[in-house]
Amino acid sequence: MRARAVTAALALLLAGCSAPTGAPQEERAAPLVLPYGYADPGSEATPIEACETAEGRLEFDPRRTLNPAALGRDAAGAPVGPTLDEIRRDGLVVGVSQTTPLLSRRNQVTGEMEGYELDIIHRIATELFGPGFAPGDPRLRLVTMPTGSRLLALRTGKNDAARKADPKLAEVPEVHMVLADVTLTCGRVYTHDVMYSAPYLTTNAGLLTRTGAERRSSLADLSGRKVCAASATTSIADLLALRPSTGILPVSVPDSSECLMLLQRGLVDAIYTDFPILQGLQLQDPGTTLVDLRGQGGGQAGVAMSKDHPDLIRFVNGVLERMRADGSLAASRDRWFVDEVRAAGLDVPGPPLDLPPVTYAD
Amino acid sequence: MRVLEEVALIREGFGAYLRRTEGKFTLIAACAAAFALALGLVGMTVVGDRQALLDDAVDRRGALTSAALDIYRTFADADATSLDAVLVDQQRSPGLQQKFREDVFDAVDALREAASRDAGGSSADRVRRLTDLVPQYVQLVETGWSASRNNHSVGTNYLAQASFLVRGTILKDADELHDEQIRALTEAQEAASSHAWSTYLLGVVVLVVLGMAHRFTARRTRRRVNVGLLAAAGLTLVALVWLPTALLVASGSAEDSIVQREKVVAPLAEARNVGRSADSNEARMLIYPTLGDVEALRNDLARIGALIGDVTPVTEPGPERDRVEQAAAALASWVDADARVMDTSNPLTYPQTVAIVTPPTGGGKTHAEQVDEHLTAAISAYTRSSAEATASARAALDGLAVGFALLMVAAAAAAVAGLWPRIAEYYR
Repeated sequence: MRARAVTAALALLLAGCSAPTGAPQEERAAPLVLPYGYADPGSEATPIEACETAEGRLEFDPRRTLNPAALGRDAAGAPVGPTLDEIRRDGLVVGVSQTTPLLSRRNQVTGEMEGYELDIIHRIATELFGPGFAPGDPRLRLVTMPTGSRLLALRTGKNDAARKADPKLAEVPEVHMVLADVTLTCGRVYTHDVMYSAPYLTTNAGLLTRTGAERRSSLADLSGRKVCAASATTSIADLLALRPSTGILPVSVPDSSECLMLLQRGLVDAIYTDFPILQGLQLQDPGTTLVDLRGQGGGQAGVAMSKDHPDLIRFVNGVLERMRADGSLAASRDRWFVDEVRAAGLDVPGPPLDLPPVTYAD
Repeated sequence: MRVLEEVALIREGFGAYLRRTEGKFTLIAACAAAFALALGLVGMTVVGDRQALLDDAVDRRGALTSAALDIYRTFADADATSLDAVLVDQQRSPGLQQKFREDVFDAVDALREAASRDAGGSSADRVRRLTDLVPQYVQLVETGWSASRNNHSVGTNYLAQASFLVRGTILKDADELHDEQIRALTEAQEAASSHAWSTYLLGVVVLVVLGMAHRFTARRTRRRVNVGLLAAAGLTLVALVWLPTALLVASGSAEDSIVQREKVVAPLAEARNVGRSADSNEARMLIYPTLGDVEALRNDLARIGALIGDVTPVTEPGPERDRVEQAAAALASWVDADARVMDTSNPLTYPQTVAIVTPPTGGGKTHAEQVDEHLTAAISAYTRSSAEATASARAALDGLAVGFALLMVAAAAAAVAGLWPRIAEYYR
């Protein structure tokens, strides 16, 4: 009996030893999926030589705009001009962003556009088309601009030449103005022949990070970590300039809203861009912390138009002047950047930065 | 030493035997039988290999090609649907979300089919790479929907990235997988139906051996006709006629299959794939417009038209051709509708574009879906027809391997039987 048991045990042992072990598991890493246009290190705009000199900065000064007082008017006092007449006849086409909450975004539920910039657009359209204008009026068409080519949509000599040189650019829709948090820069005036309106927003930079125990309230706290900004913007230029002193690792994507996706997916540790944009990003992710970097980065945003449409530039400046005067611009700013933020249960930021005084070129 | 002497004695004795007439007859009989059996063996092997190639073409390669097509189509469908789901109103969105999940489910099924049919083969790496991306793809889309439902615009970034992943990697790999399988299938069919020249040459050698044997027998025995040798030659001739005839028939059927696949199915499948790409291009232009979208859409529509235009003349009139013509008509309507979407001098509003590119309410189909539906019906019919032609090629070789071998065994037996009485005469 014992011999049988020993034999059985030996047989089992041998069977165990000779059992197939299967093919060895190949060591593989999960593929890393990154967005289109992701650049590490970040991709900066090509420097404009003309903007490096004092003469160039004067010639292509983005703050230089036109006085609304010089706008022609008809007998009834209505503003007139070739571009304004064309717009009244064919409609107003405005290039907007649909991914910048608080400034300009498409409400995914209603399909409507909303935000601070939309308030300005509606006021411009109302004054242009008269009291009969209401939201949804087909005379106003909002066009979402292709990322990175929004200013090519304005009808200017340099843009026309660029479109002719590269047939691909022909598909950028033609618009009368672009309101998409376009920061006033010398380079954009030089490259696209744009002329800005008086500024409607003054910003500084901010930092959006994931909430946690570790202190991350400045770029210096993020040494060795990836910080994201939109490519070819003033923000990525700031990050690249600050890389040696802070030790951060700048990365860029075509649109700053994509940085939030990277932050949520754990592929970057912070987002650096204009504070109002970050407020809009934070609304979408309460698990983030927003730091106001007053005195750092930022700039002024204005309505970008073709410098060949002076009547339109004067008209828009007149609208902005009246919005400043009657308090509707400040009220709209407070509605979006204070009330909306408070309603979302986020920390209410300090008072918005004042708009600079406007000086017209003529 | 003694062994060597014995071997030398045997060799000498065998040589002496072969120099005698009965020895020569025995040698001839052995040679004729050996050549006939060798021909039988070679023929059986050659035909067996070709049958195996066609079996592989019918079963594995055909299934792989079809799976590769399904992988492309289902992912491209999923891409378009994932974007449409955020463009339509909230009540219609769940239906499209469910359709997306079914598309991905079908895609995974097709990947599983491809993996099981080509485990360790040339396409295995590609299939595994595609499979590895599925979880991240689905996660990006579901997160995008979830964010969009919460009215967070970052949802569009997730969806745009998912679309970029599909179009930049998954569809390219799926397309190459399909091309690989089509090439392999065509090569297998061509190899299976090509002529077996070495077998024919060996057959000629057998006939020559039998002829020489007959001539030798006639001279030595003055019997003009040796029935056994004639029967052996006849059987060999039957085998040698049957083999090329069957291969010719198989070649014709295989050629039909290849032509249908290359001239009709492949362009129609490409047109359908490009159509799916254009469909998602339209939706992505609204969700995440980038430079090059309009040009890509215009090129896609032109490419579909060119592909359908190439196919129409090579199709026979009938219900399948009607489907191709219906696809062309649906494409014309699609191009008309999209002319407004692509007109950058007079851009449409968001709701106007949404109305054109998303499925209409009430279960209707977009122009893109109509083109896809007609093309799918035509592709299915022509694929079935191509597969039937491959099956006919295989059927033409049915029984040939065994029949060829039996014929040659019989030829060998007949040759021996024909010579045996002559050999036996010397031992009486």
